[in-house]
Amino acid sequence: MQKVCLSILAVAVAVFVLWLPFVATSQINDWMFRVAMLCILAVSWNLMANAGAISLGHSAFWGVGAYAGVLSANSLGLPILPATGVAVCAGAVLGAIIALATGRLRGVFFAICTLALSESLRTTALMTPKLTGGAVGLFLVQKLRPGATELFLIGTAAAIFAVLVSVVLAHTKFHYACRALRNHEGAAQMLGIDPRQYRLAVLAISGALASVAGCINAWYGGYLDPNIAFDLFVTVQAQIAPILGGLFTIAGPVVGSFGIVFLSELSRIWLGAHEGASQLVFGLVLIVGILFMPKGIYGSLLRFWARRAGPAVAKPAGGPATIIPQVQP
Amino acid sequence: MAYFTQLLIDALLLGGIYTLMAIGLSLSYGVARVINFAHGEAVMLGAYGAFWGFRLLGLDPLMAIPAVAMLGIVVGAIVFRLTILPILDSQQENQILLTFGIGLVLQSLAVMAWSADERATNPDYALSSFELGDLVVPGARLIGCAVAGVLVAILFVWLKFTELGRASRALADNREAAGLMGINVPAMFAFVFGLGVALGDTTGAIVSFILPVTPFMGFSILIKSFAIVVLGGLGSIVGTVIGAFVVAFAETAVAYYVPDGNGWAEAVAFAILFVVLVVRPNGILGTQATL
Amino acid sequence: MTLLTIKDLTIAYGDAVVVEEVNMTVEEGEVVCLLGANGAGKTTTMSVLAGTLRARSGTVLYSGKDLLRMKLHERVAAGVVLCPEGRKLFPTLSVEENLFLGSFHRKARRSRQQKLKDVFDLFPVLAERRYQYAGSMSGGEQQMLALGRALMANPRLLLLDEPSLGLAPRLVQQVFELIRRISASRISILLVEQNSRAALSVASRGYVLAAGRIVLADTAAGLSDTHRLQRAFFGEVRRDEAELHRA
Repeated sequence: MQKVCLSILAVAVAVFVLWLPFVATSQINDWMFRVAMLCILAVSWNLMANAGAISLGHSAFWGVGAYAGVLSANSLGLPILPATGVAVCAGAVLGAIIALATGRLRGVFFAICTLALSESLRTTALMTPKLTGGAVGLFLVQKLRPGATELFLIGTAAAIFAVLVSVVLAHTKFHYACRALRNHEGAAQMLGIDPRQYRLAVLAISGALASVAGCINAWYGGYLDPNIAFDLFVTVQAQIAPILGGLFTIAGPVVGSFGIVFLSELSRIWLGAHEGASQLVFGLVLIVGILFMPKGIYGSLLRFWARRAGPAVAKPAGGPATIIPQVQP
Repeated sequence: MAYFTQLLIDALLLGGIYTLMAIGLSLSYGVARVINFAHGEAVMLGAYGAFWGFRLLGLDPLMAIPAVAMLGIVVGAIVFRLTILPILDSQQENQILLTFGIGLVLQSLAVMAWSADERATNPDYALSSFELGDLVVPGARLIGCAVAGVLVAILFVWLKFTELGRASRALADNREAAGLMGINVPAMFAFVFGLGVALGDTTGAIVSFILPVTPFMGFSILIKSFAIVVLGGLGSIVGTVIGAFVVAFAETAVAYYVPDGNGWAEAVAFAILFVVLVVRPNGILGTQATL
Repeated sequence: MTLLTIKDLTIAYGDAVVVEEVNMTVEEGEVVCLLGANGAGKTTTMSVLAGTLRARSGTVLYSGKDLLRMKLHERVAAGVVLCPEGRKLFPTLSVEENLFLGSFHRKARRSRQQKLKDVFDLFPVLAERRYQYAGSMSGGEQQMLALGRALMANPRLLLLDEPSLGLAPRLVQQVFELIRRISASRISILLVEQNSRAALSVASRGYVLAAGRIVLADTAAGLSDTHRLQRAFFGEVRRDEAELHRA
């Protein structure tokens, strides 16, 4: 019953957001666009985290997608959709490379690797002005830029697509494989799941998604430089949205994206346009989230509904309730 | 030939400083199994501490070290007790995100309090330099390296010969057994974590007259420290020393031989990290990686 | 004087009850053994006594004090010292450093040099290998180091968990001879063992644990009937059949 309600709700929301670009004000469309981009990022981060890979450098994928999108337009004259296709490939390749490098190493190595990767990509972009325009930056070729409405539509459609991808993955063997990987790689192997294969697939798909977001965002903005492309802020938002909304769930990243954009605007109003203010808020959300709010907004709602439905799931004994629990019920 | 010797001197001096920079991270992990993603911010805060001491009190940054170190131990222990201890036994991913969040908060506070402008302390010796024939030895780096060397040596002595140092090594070996010896394990963890922070912010005080001090300096320091620790081997203090000199040497060599080499420093650290992870994740002296 | 009184001790992991309402005592100066098959709950009981595991319910009185309320490091200071199963030495530290760590807590530090001498007298092989890394020693030597390390803490009640584990029969004999000598210096010992014969050769009394319950309690002589012992191990002795001594 719950599932049917949720599905209807999801379709309604999807239809609504697809309709918005045609009728809403540009301010609202701008907000929704930010939500859409964040949503793709959040879904992507969530997918990786689901497989035990905590990315501290999601901006790497974002930036690579952005440069792929802009460069393929400027150098090859590709319009937006093919350019996005290039970004997809770039992101997938990057994800695959990291997967191969970190193999079956523990989560912390992956985290360090992504952190270092995003910084060095930024450095590389700065140091190769011939390719990237260096610190001066790059403008997207004007005549290829699509109209605002078209862009909003593409952004929204991409976000919906991303969510669909996560829905599909959640209903396949893939999902259980990833959960098994996260909980106990050794046991998963004994069940015939090859961790490396799944990790590779997850990282490639997630990477591709994040790159799509970066690409579309770059097309929206029309201007790109290494600091924008590989901004730490991108990484932070990519993490916070799913954590706030509900890690490892499908709707969590979506809910979280709305929440984060909302919080962002709020902090701008309260704390002024202080540089660092929103990052402070997000850092605090992260800390508080890990320590006190293990399931995020959506996750807590799920728990609430489950309790309403009656005691069915036995509570695991002892242990602190943490955001990434030892055993998933 | 002189060119290469100059490179060697620069690399060695940098290596000493890098050792101090990374050793706190290594200690925290080796003893308490805590990966501190806010380590860069600890260094940053130490640098700012030295800067404000210099600016407001005329305090020489090296004189600021005892105060900065004490603060590091105390604040580090408190932060550990309040935020990290509760999640210590849960999945490592929690620690990663939590300490990363702490780093973000510290960085933002620094930006809001002190703006993003570059600062530096300017003690007299920072501007001096020696000449040995054709070679130039910059005073700032020489002193920085010397102080770092002394502090690292003190750490080694402390680890080898004192009660608490021995207890720390025991904790690193076998946490459960250490508890059975009557060691108050949570208190030791907090203390060692604080020590790691102190080693970091002491490095900050030292580099305040070598590098520009900004709220964002923590990031690249964190990455370099990780490259060093992973190269040396997670959990091995001696490995960290070796790793520090290798990374210092690689960076300096790139700066010398690659056009615009200075700008590539970050990428060097990453390249080393990447190669180590692919080829030998255990690092040079590490004992556990794939777990 | 009864040094240790365990009353209705129950230990559980979540919903799984591992040790159920166990009652045991240890008198001052005694050697008492706790026997049972693998998985009966012996090490779990020791862990609770040492403080590395929490009990579900029950009380443990140690020298009149409530032991279960004391934190891990407080118990060591009070004289309750565990020599754990599998030795759990510090492999990168030397023999001497391992022994120093045994006497980490403040009271023991004062008598460290004297105790070191005593331990080296008792285990001359440790004196020979004083500066060797603990990780590089043989199984028998490691067991002696573990015992020595426990002694450095000035124990009043020594908890020995499976000292014969992984040792060749001749070494087992040696170790138990040493345990006898330790007992002679008026240290009370609670000994957990799978090797009943060896255990009964040093103990004055014993309990048998099967599936978490005490099914037999008797003097060492009384327990020496191997047939009865076997049946007890495998839970074939019913509660009403068991002779439970009230000490």
